[in-house]
Amino acid sequence: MNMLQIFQIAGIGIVVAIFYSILKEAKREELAQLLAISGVALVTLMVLRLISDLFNEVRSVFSLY
Amino acid sequence: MEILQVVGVGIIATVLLVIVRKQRPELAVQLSIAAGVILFLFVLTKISAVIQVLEDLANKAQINRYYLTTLLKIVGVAYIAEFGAQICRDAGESTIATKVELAAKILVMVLALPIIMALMDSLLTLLPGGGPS
Repeated sequence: MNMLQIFQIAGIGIVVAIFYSILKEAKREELAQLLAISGVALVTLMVLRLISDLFNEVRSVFSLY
Repeated sequence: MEILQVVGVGIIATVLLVIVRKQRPELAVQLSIAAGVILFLFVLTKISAVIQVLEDLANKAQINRYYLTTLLKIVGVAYIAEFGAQICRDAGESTIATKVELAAKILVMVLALPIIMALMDSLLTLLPGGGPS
């Protein structure tokens, strides 16, 4: 089982949360928003790859075409 | 003892989720999707062994292969639909989850139609005086 991706996503989430609050304290709201959006995009890419793996596996196991 | 691995992954993912969810709920959804996919992929390798045994049994009983593949397809559709609906419901979108489940039911019905028709045909041939001659 590959736990790496879970830790990666959680790490990205924690880092984004920390920098978001720092940027917000520094009155850089627009940069903070941009950071949040880019974090979501990055994680979405990772999750998309995982989901495509899952769909391919299910298709091959259950002979769905 | 694979169950220990599964429970360990579940607990670790839950702890990380609780940390992340407070600040960034949108990343928490992604994290829960990733944890679900990893657990599912792990179980899927076991399911393939079970399916192998089922195919051997079907070969021994000389059942038409078409029925077994249809059955497997239905199980696959149900698994995938359940997975997607659970994710939608986790994120608080139970409307979309209901739609996903409805679509899965309809697709399963479409897959099952040929089997139902075959059953009807064999029933009709059993009836006295009826059936396609």
